[in-house]
Amino acid sequence: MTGTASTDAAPGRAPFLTVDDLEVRIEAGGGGGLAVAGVSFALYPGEILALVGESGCGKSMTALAVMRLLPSPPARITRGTIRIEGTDVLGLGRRDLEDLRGRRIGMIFQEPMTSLNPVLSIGRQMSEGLRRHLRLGRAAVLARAEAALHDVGIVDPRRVMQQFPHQLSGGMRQRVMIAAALSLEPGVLIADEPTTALDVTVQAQVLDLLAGLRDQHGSGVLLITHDLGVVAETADRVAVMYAGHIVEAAPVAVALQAPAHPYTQGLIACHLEVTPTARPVGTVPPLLETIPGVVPPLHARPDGCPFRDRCRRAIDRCAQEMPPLASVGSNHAVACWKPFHD
Amino acid sequence: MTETPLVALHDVQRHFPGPGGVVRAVNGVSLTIGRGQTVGVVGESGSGKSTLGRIIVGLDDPTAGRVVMAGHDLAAMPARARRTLRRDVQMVFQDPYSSLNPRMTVGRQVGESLLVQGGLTRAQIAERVAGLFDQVGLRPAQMASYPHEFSGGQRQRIAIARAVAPRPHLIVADEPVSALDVSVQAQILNLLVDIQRKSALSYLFIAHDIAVVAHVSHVILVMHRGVVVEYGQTHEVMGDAQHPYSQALLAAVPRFGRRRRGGAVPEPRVAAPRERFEWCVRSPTHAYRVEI
Amino acid sequence: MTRRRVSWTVMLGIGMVALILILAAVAPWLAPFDPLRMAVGPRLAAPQAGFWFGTDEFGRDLFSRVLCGARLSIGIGFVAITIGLVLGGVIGVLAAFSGRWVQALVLRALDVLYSFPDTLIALALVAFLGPGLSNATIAIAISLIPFYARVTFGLAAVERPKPYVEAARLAGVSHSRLLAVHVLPNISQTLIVMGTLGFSSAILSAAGLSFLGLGVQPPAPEWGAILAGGRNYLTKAPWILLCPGLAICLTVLSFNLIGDSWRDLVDPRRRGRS
Repeated sequence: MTGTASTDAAPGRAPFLTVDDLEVRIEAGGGGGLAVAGVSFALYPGEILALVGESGCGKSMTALAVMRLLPSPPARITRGTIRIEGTDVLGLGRRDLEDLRGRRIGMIFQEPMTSLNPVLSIGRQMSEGLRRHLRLGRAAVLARAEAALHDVGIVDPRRVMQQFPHQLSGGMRQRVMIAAALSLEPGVLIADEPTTALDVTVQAQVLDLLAGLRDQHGSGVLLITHDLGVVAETADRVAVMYAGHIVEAAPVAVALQAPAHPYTQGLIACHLEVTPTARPVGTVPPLLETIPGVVPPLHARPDGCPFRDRCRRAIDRCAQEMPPLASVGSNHAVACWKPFHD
Repeated sequence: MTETPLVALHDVQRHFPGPGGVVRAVNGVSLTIGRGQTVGVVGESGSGKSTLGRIIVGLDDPTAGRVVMAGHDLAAMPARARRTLRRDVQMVFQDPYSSLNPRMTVGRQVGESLLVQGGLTRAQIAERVAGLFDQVGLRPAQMASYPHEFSGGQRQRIAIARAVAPRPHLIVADEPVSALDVSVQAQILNLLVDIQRKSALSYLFIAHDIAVVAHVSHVILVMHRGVVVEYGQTHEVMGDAQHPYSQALLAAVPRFGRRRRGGAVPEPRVAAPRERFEWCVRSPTHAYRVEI
Repeated sequence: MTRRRVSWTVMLGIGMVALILILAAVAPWLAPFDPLRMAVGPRLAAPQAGFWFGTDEFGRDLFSRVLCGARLSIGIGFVAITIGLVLGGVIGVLAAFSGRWVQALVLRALDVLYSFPDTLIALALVAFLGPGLSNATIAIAISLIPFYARVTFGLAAVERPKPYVEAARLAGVSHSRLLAVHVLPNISQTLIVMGTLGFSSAILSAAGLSFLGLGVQPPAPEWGAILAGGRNYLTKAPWILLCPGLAICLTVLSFNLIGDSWRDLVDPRRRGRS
């Protein structure tokens, strides 16, 4: 696909993860449709690629598809390829898939409590993966788990390993999840809204951790989020998704300062920054820019560009054809018939 | 200032029995909300900001301290008079799904306060509700629908219409946009602002998202472990926070034009459970004493 | 939009219940003989043409007796379950929305009653009230109250802290209106399901009491009473036990089939979106 090539961060290096023309269909009696409609991207070592979009844009479905964790039924991969370091993920059997998950690709979720087993101690949960994937002895497993917890900034790993999930705070649980994922040293980490359930001060620490992974271990991180602030601070490249399509892909600075797609531009306009504005009593704040309407539901996605009903720049062609993701600058691609130009 | 504040809290405390002793969810909060004013409350989980909101609307009672509404001390009032006063304070909840009754048409829910208040015919109520639907950006034809037929943003519009229906002086909005998508958030914030412009009501706006609170508020309270650690005009708190906790909170908010570099892995903030912050110079008690 | 698929078990349950109810309703006209008339045929005759279920020790036609017995058995079950559900429901909802002390008191009292088997309570009550149709019905109804109060309490306690209930309070809704207009409609579906499932146990209790001679008195053709009458002829005429036993079994089964899936059928949240 044109999109993949045009948004490569470092052509020449081999990507950890390539997703090509991925299509995920959700079957629901009369209400089904394409949750992911032909998505292509590549994730390279040492970079954080953010998939950004509102609920229903397909970003989580894409992540789950990469892990082969889609709930099936109702979801089904109907087209495309997913490769992790050259291995065709979609062609793998169950056993190989289990070897792949955790070992070569790790995942952390929004709510760490649901992904931790409440009746097993942290040490037990962490050593399970190590034993299974690395076939290490007991002592080596414990040493490795301890080191991983230490790496994510936990001061007393030995004590934490004896504790149970409910005894830890939300931030600590997310650290443990990250440590468990990292202890296996996967090349790729998929982080699906990893800080959405956390307080802002804890969020900052977890984001620092992800940035540390990239900078010190050279890991590739696929960061799924709805928060442009998080993207701005953490990600290197960003792919904006809308209704199952990547509508814009660019380096973060380019996407945030010179967005070419009206949707990206709208998201940025809606985003509130912390600014010290005087607000005397008796005055009301200025109206915010909005994107009118809502994301069309899965079963009612129109032909052509799905954003056109909410778009101020829509032209006739938008109703007929979905624009392809086409290059508009170095590493910058956009799927729009009437993009913004500088 | 000679005007009686709409709501004044005096050293309000709310304690809950907890496994390790008493939890002081709200531990001595005093504040005033003036007419047409938006008071923002920011804080992280466990700061007591939601409990504070629930006390002000009357869904929870303070363990100690006084709640004074329009000059009347609530605890000293007969129940009937208290109920009448309470109608002046309404609430918008965080979750637009559980805050609407799934088995009642949305029109009935919006009009219910008018119905139980009495004095209006059904036709008059229907007319008012239709007007409210129009005001919050919904079609009056949608009055007969049930909540499950609406999106999250539309439900929050319905919840706002319901809160506005009895013409309250104050709306406590507890995380009113945090369950919504960014583009819908902006629509709902604009709606709240628009309502304030037209009817000059006051808001107590509670949220964990500092940027959202700062956008709508005239005054901001920063809460931490049941205590107000900082209080001031929005631009003062945002631009020149005095308290170390407010400073830490503001510094943590992600923003454009700043990059996170994973140099050294940060140590987790070691939380001292009994840690108490000193009261800030801009504490609301000071402000209140000045008013007396 | 496609409608929800209704599983065949529900359809079967509905079909069977409908059939049983129709049969019960037209029993007097459908029955080939008067269920009380003796010696319409030979005594203890095996099932045969003319006497499909055979005859009992008095030469009464068992088919007619089982058919007419449906009215009594189902009637007792229906009345008892209605009384038990309504009274238990009221106690449960009130307890869930009352203060801490009242709530604790009611719950402990229910716990004590709940620790006895239903049938034991019903037995004790009949012993106190005296045997007979209406007393047995009342006894069964009362014995069901602790269970339904407990179930209702659980359901209502879940609703109580929900924001929509709190919002209604803020709108100034009175306590009784809050319970009747907001809480009840949200728990009624589950209660009806519980009622449908409890229906079978009420029929069983009724049959049990009659079997022990404490419920419907002979010669009235109640299923449990027919069973009781037949127990002396277990070896000579097993059909006297088998036929009413089968009737009880089928009725209980069909009500359970419906109860299990009722909720899916009536929940408006599951109705197709427009």
